[in-house]
Amino acid sequence: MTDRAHVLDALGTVYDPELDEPITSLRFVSACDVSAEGDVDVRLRLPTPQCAPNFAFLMAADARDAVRRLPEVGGVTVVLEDHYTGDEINAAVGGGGGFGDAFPGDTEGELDALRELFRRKALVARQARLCEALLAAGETAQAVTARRLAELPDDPDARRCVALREQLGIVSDAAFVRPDGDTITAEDLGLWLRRARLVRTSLEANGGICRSLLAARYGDPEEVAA
Amino acid sequence: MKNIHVHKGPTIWPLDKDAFDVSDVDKVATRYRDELNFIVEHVGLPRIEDFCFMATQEPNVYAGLAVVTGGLMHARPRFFAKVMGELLFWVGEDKMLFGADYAIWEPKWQVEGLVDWDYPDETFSDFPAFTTESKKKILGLNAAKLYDVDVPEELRLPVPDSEPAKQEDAVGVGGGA
Repeated sequence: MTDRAHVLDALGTVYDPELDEPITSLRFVSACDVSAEGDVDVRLRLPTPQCAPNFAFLMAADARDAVRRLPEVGGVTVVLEDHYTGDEINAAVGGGGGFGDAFPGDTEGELDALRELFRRKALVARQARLCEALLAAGETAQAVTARRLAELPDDPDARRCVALREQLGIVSDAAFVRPDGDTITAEDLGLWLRRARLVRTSLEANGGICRSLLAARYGDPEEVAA
Repeated sequence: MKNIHVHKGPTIWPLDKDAFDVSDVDKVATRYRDELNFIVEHVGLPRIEDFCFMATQEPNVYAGLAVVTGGLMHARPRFFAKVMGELLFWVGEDKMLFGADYAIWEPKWQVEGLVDWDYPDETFSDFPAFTTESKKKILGLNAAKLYDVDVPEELRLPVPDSEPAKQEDAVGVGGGA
């Protein structure tokens, strides 16, 4: 039967689409209970009551889907707490619906385009970190742009880049690519890195703001699994 | 009327768009390129990257520093330095305007702070320098140009404008603008 550790592992595969971090390490999972019958109840919380409904919906729906995929899981309930559109989101997520079901008339479509845009941003930001580290270690622009994906150091940023590229359908085997998957040359590297670093700065700053708002709202960091 | 100060905030409709999308300004700025200027207050934060790429491509889009100065200069000095460096690189000192967000903060300490400000250390050395000339432009000369205020001869700058990043360099993550 599914136990709590399995559920938390599954929730660890759910990412904040904007910050590109698991909702577990962001401390967005406030409670996770598994009954004797295998029914799962997950409670989510966000840094503010006004966090964007689109990202909030994606995290709640992804959490629902990730837990439902577990073998021998019973009923799955995911509830977003303390949010101004919590009722709408929880009703749609509970009923297996999409974003349009949660906000009829307030949306022009589902959230695939939004998710893809932020996956590209996340890829750019992670590549910037990896590339800066290689350049700082003395690698030339020629060598950096000639690197293959398989030749990246085995670290969390590189593993996440591989996952994001798969999700985005980027087939190039170059280690560093443009947001659309095109390759870069040594001559392009300076400006490519400039752009990538700006995206990285923005993403990291916003992540910092979210963390401090969450800490102000719910207290200091503590292990969610404790 | 030719100058529009845009206060960007969360999207109300449609909700499937990024809440801080700046493409609405992009569209209208392209359409009224010769008639209107758009000063985006707090520079599109938290989407500083989208704003920088867009403002680099649109000659009539300006960076308004309201909230940036008051909110970040002292509270988050390193992030403030990065934001200033990126704005100077992408948008350029000729398209940045001081703003104080008066009623939240008074302007005096912000003006004085910006006059005294420089990057905190050499890790910011690949950003454009923040010179006395930059400060004169941002604190007044750029606004004087936008609002046709006659600047006394002795306060004008003798040198030509600097060159910010080129339009074609500012290809954003979304591909288009």
